[in-house]
Amino acid sequence: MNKFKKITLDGLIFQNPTFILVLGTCPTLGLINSAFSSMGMGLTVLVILTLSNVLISLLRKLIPNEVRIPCYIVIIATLVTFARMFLDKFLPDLYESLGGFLALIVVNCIILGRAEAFANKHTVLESAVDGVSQGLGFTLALTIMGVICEFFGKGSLFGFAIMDFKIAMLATPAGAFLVYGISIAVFVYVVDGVQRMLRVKTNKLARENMLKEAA
Amino acid sequence: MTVKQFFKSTTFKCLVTLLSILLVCGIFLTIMHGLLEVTAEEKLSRAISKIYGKNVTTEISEVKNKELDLATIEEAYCVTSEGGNFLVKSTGKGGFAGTVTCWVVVEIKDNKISGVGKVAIDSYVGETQMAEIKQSFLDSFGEKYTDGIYYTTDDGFKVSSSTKSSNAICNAVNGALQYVKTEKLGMETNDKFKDFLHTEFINKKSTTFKMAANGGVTYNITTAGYGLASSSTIEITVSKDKIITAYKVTADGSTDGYSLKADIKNGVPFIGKNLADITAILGEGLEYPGDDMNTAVNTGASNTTYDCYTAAVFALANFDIALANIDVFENFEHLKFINKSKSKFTVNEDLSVTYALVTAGYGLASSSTIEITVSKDKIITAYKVTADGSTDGYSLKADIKNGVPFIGKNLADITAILGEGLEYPGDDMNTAVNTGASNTTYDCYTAAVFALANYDNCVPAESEGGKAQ
Repeated sequence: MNKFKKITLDGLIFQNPTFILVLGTCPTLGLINSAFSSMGMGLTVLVILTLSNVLISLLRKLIPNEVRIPCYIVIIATLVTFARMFLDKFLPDLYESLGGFLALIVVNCIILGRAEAFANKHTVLESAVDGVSQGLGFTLALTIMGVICEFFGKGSLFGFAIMDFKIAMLATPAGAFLVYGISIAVFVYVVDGVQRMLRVKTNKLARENMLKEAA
Repeated sequence: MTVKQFFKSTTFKCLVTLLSILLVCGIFLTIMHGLLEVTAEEKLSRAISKIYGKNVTTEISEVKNKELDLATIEEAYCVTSEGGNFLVKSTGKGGFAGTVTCWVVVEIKDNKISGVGKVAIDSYVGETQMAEIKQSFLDSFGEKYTDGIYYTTDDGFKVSSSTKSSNAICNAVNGALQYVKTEKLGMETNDKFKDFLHTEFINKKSTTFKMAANGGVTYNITTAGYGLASSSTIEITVSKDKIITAYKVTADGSTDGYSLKADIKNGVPFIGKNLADITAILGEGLEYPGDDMNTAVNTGASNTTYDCYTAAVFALANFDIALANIDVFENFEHLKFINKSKSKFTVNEDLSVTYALVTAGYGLASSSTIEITVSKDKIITAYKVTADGSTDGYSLKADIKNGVPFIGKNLADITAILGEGLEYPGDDMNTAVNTGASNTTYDCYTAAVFALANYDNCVPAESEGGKAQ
């Protein structure tokens, strides 16, 4: 059970694809001016990432090492094309708001990265958990930044007007870049702080145990 | 390598694996495409639902990318469940770096356009400030609809931080209105620039042209504006030899902080030039040369300078058609008494005016043809009826045919006979008009009034040598 907890925490926090690994920056910078688009992109990536991880893990023993990357790309491209068809059919508003970034998921580093770094070395279940946790980490990061950019850049939240005051620059890719940078700094600072605190606590416990044993 | 070895090799295994994955993915996507395909009807239904907020019944009109000056009409539908209104998908030109496609609901009442119901953005290409276009701007087209066909950015249909995109939307709406008016309702467009070339460079609503004193054409052009520059206003006179003889920028549309050079404002690069000269500077495509080039257009205010050059091209290229379309009776009084298309006038060297008028005809009388000369003292010096429009069995009196009651008379004299309202006195009255052919006689009097009242319109105060029409 500890293995799945670690995979989940890695995806959400310690190897967060957006804030720690800094992957998938293209849709991040392009879409975080709208909370709705950010969340939509995050959830789409979550589904595609989970499915691609599961499929690649399933096929990992059948795919020869020499052609693994082309095979991964074909699988990911198929899933992305399917996602595009699905969204166009059932969620046209989201499909329109994601625009060209939807097709660009094919070359999203997170998906190919997890396929190469995780799914082809782990079981189907572990890969599925990794896909969900990495996808959730990406979704949460994008949604948080989307909320910040939309609230301060447009004075609205998920399309609903909240206030007249706005800093228009934050609704542009340049503003998104700024928010992204600050978010990374804050996230790393907090995670580092928590890890340091945990290390101190662990060391303290170890020292106490050693002292007890010595006594 | 033998065949057997090949089939056992890694190469073969790789090929089979890759092709198998490709095949499975291909089949999967083919099936999914069949299940999830969004048909053209579904797309239309979505667009209509977005506009109306409900499903409506439509009748498809046959349109395949109809090109108009301001827009391209892509689709048009008659919305039968909404009283025969038209729903038009129109792509407006003149954006910042592209086009904006809009759905426009054109409301119809009594077979006439009664308003613009809704305007919704469908898509856009090359526009970066579309986020500034708010619903209130789109609603303003319906709220401020007037009988006139064109909306312009000068009329307030402009979003300050997205001027060019709002211009493209304006053009899309205008295109939809023009399309419905001319193609669907079969009405003549009031477009005085209908067959003109290069109209994309001008604002058709504000641009005018008239006969110049030298027999050429004087244009008062409001440009369309280019890039960041707003509209400029330019007066250009083109002589009969199709050479620019006068050029003056009366309003500089340059962006704040920029200004046209003085010699361009005064038309120095244009005066004495013909169409070939100006085209040689801009190139055959008449394209903007770019910001960092070293051409005559690249001044401190390059966009406005380009506007000035394209205005000159417009004026020169359309000389013949403008000359043929000049309404010589524009601003004339009492036009109801004459047939404009058949009447004409000539300004003589002594500044007297000779009219060859075809009357409108009154009551039972048909049109008469009358030649009238008015001296520069505004007195009739010659009057001759050359075709009598009286009803069969009636005829004008000989002295009226020869202008006896008119020669030597001024406007006040004739008005005193007809009365201030210039009304027909009635058939049974005892006035100078009541002759055997009273209706035609009335026609002769009103023709005299027309000739006398419009002397100043024929010979403007600034005219030096007179002009010939």
